[in-house]
Amino acid sequence: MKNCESIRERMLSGEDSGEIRSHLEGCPECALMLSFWESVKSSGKSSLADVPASLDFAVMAKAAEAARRHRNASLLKKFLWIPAAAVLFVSAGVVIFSMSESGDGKISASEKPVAAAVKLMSWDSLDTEILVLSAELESAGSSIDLANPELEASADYLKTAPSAIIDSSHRSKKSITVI
Amino acid sequence: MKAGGDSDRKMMNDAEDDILIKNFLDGDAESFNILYERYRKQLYSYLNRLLGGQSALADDIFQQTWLKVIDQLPRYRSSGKKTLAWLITIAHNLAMDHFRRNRKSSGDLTGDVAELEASMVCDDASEPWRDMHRSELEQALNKALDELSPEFREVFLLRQDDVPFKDIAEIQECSINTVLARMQYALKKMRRCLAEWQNAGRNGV
Repeated sequence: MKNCESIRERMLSGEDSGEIRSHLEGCPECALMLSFWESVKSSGKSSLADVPASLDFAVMAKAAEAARRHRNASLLKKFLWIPAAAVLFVSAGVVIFSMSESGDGKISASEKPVAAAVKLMSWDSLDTEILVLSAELESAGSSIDLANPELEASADYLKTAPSAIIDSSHRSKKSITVI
Repeated sequence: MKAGGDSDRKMMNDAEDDILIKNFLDGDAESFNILYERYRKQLYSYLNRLLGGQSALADDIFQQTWLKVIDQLPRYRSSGKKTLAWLITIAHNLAMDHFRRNRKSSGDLTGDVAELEASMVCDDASEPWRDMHRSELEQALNKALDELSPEFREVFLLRQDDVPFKDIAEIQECSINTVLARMQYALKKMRRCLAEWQNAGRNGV
């Protein structure tokens, strides 16, 4: 029959439909083929011996060895980032350190705004501290025990120093530029 | 009739196989053992029947197949095949290499192809298997299988294992029509062998 080929492919694939059944009613050759196939489909499979234990052992030993290799490779892949990150971290540290060393106390473009602000704040508080200290010294200068030669020298220095320090700090501040 | 549950189960097995393979590639040997347990019997049975009872050869090819599988698993997913079809393809190639080396198969195959045409024309309608006991039928079928060339025998055996025609075509690297023709020929030749077996028995030969 004309469509025997397509019907056979489907019936030998296990399909069961109305179309196949009606074809089989009119085609004894296809019906015979299906009948034989259904009789022998599961034949000969049950009587076979099991896989010998020696084969199981050989295959599993090889698999265990391969699994060990895969485990080592995947561990290497998993933790490879640690030395890479360490190298990156050290390199970054070296670069930052060398940049800060070459800056001569000035805030360079690469420094962050926070660092610049901290620097400005410390200059301002130094000014205030010097002014307060010098005022206190002036008012209490006479009460200092000048019998101590070290204190006497310090007091002399501080009477003249504040203006010099303030001038110096203001000069430094002028050189501060924040970008 | 094929139940829808069958194909669902197969799809689920394939998905599970993918997980087992992934775990094995992460270093879990137990995942491979589960995969091995799942297919070892089917593959062993296929090889024994394909090689017509040459059990030492079947053992050898079985082991070679699994060693190849272990080596090729890292590249398995890119091949896109189902696990069983992939396993059978490897076993098939090893078995065909053996047949080619022994030259026996190529002669058989040429004869079969020539006979294929004739068998499609003349066919008798007897049903000898209906009168046979199960054990007698199995014995006769094994003999009939031995008389088929490896390619034809393989199609029959793979269909017994529910491997679809499309997958068999991929395994044998030919068209579905060729596979279907081989299947029909295998069935017809086996029927004839059974009839001869029965006649020989009745005539006391």
